[in-house]
Amino acid sequence: MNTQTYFEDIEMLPKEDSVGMLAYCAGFIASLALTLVAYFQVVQQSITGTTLLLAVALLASVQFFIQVTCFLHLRTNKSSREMLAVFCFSLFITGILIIGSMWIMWSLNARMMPGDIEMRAYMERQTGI
Amino acid sequence: MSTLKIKEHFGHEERHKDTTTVFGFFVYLMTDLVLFASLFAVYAVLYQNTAGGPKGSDIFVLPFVLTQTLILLASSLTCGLALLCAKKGSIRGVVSLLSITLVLGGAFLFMELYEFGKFIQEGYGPHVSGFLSAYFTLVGTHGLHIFAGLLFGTILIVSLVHSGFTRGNLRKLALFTLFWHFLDLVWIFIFSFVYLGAFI
Amino acid sequence: MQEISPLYGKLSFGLLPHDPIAIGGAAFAVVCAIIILSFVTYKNLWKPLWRDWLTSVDHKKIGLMYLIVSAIILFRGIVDAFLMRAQQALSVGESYGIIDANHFQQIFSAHGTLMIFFVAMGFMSAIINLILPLQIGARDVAFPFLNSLSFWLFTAGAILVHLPLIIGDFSAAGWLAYPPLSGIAYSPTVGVDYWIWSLQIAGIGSLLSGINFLVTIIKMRAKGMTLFKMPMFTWTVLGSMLLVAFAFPILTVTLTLLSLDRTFGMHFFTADGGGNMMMYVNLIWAWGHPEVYILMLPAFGIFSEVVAVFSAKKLAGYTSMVVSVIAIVFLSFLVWLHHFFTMGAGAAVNAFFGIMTAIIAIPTGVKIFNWIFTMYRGRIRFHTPMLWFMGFVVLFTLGGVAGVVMAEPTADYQLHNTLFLVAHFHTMIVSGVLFGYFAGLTYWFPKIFGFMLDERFGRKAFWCWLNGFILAFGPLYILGLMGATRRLDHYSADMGFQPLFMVSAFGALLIGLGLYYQVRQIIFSIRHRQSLRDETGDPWDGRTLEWSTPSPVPHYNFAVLPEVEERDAFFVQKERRGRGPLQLEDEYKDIIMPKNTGAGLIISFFALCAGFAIVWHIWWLAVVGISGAIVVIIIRTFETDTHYTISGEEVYETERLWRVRYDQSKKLVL
Repeated sequence: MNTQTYFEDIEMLPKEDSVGMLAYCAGFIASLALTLVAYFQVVQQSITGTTLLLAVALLASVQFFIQVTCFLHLRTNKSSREMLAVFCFSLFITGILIIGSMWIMWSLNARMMPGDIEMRAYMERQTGI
Repeated sequence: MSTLKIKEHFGHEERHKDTTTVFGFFVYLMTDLVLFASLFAVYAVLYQNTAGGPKGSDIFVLPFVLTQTLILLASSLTCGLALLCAKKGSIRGVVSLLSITLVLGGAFLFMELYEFGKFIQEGYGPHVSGFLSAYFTLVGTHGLHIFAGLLFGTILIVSLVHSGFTRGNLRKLALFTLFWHFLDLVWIFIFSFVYLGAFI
Repeated sequence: MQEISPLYGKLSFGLLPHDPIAIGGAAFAVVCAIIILSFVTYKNLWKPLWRDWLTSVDHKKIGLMYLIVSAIILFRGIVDAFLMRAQQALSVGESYGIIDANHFQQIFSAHGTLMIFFVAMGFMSAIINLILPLQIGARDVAFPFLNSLSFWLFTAGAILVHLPLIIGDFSAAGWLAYPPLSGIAYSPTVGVDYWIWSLQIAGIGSLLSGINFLVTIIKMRAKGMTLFKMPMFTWTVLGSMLLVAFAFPILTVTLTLLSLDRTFGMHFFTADGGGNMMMYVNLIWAWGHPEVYILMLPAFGIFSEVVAVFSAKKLAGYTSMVVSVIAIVFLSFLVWLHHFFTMGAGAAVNAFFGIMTAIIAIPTGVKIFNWIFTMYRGRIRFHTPMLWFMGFVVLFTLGGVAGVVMAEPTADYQLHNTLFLVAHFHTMIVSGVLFGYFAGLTYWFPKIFGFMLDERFGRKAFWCWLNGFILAFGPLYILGLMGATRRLDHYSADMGFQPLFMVSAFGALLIGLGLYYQVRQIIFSIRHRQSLRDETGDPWDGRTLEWSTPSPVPHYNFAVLPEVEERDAFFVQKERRGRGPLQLEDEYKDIIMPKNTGAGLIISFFALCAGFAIVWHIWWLAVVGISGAIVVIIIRTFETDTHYTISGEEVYETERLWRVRYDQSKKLVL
């Protein structure tokens, strides 16, 4: 065994030698840029509300995929196929869990009776008591 | 630099065993992803429950968190470069880059503990509201993982200095890099949705 | 405010049991433990026990240990069931039965917790450990040390969950401990903490097992065994382990958050301070629903094996069976809200999950039809495993229909938390999971132990279980429709429930008789094991690879790792070259196997200490426990002497002796 081939042998790095400084540096610079763009958008508030939220979400997702491909080397080649399958399933579960929980809890919260303070304020408005 | 030949026998069985270990560790990381997803779901549901206490935009200091984020990102880069040095057979490179990774990780963790300490001192501890409980637990769990990574990395560096590029050390290096990159992946979402999200 | 001593935490002598039944329970547990420990000491078995069993990383031994622990807890769980049935049969009108309300609540909480987490999960881990590596033609699982650790974490959890018998009390908040009842305000005693930490420890063991078996199936199959050539049991285990890996982290988080609320005063699920207790229900069922499929899928896999072998026909519709497993895996993450339709979500949410629940019944239906098609025109032999299947197919279908009734949210508003629900899920778990695991254990018993189980006692046991179950739970369907709420220790006389409760109590006794026959079956079979001996390794004319080994299986599993070309690989092999062992090779290669280690046991011991310490707020012990576990783990990662070699000569000798015994047994038959 030699260190050159070890990481390819254990299916951590793809066999092509194009992986190297390029992938890591490009990934780093892209992630840096995406982080800073998101940061300054929020700080400067050039867009607001839902648009801003979507923009930040998009930037985060893109950075996620860049790091997954450049740092984790998870691609569609043969050696990563099993890890990729497990990864996609994990994303499916993660998505359902977060979005499902948010939907369910929003619905439940919306249909809760108002709390004490709100109830009293409501009654005051209605009856002047 | 020339590649380094290792004396340990590394035939087909050994290759299969190490591939299996890497795959198994990756599966574990995916279960960790679901763990963080649950914590994110809890945060998403509770972040507005401030119970008369502060909300995120009241207490988070964005430049501070940006610095933390950049430090962690840089450590992810140095970690990846450490792996490349191992490919090239440079033990010095691996040890130096891993050390830098851990120092950066330590700085990140220190900043996080400082932030937590400040909040608690000002009376915004995790027992104050649902929002704060969720925040401390989500970010704290990530911090706990970073701490585990620092422990893992330190022991790995000691082992590398002591025994060099053994099969066990190379395997542990592979697992460490997977773990460390994973933690940066999770942090992307903490940074975006917890910290930036508080100001949207 | 409770006194917390720095040395003893909340421990105090006042927390030992003080009513007759509780003292009885504690005494029984302690006496059993003393008897077992004395027996082992008397027979000088400690050294071989430690060397060959407790430190074993062999999947077959670990499987057997899971089996023993789970069987013991099955007895405890059934005692709890007897107490509940007795209480509800007697406690009507003026009479208040034999158990007070608080104790009754602890009993039903313990019953559910033990049966699901320790009996069902334990039996499942036992069977998968015993059989899966053999079925895929492997020598062991992917991570043998992790396997041992998983077992010992499971056992540590099992010990912790039984300590409330001796000191403190158990949770009275049901098997899922909903807040705010399980929060510190309404459950100030240590009961819920015991519940939380025993499940956390056992849960980590389960998660590690899930990862282990998942990787085993993906990476360690025999050469030529592609995914679509795997046996059906292997497919269902793959599905189940995917569910374990991705559902258990949710449980870990939820338990942690509840313990943070209780121990550190946080506000995840509290009534005040911005907590949202509905989130607990949401998360616990996001885990809970996949959990029931985790238990169910391997049982389905067992039935696929049993039906094919005992109908002497290959399994019908293999591809549709695989597709239904995959469908169940995906769908089981999309239905969890049906456990809390009545918590008050809007119509759209309830409708979505109601429809998904109705849809998830379909793949199971596909499976039932395929099993029936397999039987059609087969040569059916009604040995005990097949009897368990027949009982399953009838009861499970009926219970499943009850489930589809409740899948409709408006109907569920009437039936939720009634005894109808209790009857439904017991039908699913007993006739599905339990009968399935019984079928698997009776089917694979000769493979594990090398001798057959007595058929007569097996039949008696089955008929007692079947009729006992119908009598115990049939009335509960009716009671539920009559409006009987679950989990009550007393009903007023004018409800008219008592006659049905009495029938149900009688049914429980009949189930007890079934269990008795199972114990007698095992004892009888052990006594007569020489005459029940199976030297062929293949007493049922099996179809899958595990039957190609001698019984009991040698520690290396296969002398030569098999190579597979088709489905039902062993059956195909027999068709080509007849029954009986393969030709003895001239020589066999050395086999490298993983070495035994006590690290798993020691780590789990530290985990048990930490769990106990956190329950009782003994912080110094908690630190010792957690650090100890971490230190042993780190030391283990540097262990290089992890394998030993079985010489080719030893393999040759084992294989040769098997063939000699096989020929001798064949001569006896002739």
